[in-house]
Amino acid sequence: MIGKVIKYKFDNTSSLNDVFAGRVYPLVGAQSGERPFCVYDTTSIRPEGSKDADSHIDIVNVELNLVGDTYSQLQTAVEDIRTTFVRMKETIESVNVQSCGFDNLTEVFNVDEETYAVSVDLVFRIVKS
Amino acid sequence: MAASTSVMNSTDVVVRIGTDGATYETVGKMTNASLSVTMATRDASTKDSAGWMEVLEGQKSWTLSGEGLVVYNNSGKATPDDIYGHLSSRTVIYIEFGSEATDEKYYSGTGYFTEFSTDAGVEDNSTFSFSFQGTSTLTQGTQS
Repeated sequence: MIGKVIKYKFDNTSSLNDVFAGRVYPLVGAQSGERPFCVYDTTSIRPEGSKDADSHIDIVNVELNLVGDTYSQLQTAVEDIRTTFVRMKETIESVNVQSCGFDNLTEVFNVDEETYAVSVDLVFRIVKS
Repeated sequence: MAASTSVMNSTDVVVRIGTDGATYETVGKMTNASLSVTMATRDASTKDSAGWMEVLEGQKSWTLSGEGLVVYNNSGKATPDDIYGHLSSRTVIYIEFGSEATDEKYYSGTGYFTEFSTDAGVEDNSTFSFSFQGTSTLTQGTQS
């Protein structure tokens, strides 16, 4: 479900869409695909429930993997991602996002392909009931 | 019918409160509930006790406490706001602790909310907790 939010925000936020142009994929991206692109996946979901319901809030950990040709391009993208997602409060395609936090960032350089990659960890609070 | 022979699921154990002993509301969004019943003892040790403490029965008392997630608009349920209101006005509360399922045991009595607290950090769930001091008899019943 969180994938709908990520895809929507990338496609409908001009700063992100100008760079990624829809190249936002779940779980896997083409190795030889046009860059930059983003691959996202959910790394864990922790339901916060009570005696009334299995979950009132889902704590969803998401990893965004950005792959590009230049370091500066990805650094700018990370700032745009933080601006776009962190502390967002919005319902997108029936997914009620109460908030989002920035949790971590790691960087990698692929020598063989001469590409940069940045992994961004976000934590979403999704309202369930 | 008798109570279930399976180990009780703690999720089914709820706290219900009311002010007239006839109508009750379940405290909403609770994540934990505890009931504690104690009996004090009287020291009955004598020179003949051979160094061992001897006791006799004393006063019985009971307390109840709970924790939950804060939601102030929760139709049909008692909210943290209700609990604070009862504590603030020092209202005598009728309280029940147990499963609502038919034939299951529950405990009931009256008393007062004696403590209410709420916690709110950053990017986390806002929570509440309360303590309740029972007065007089704690009664064990069976849900019908």
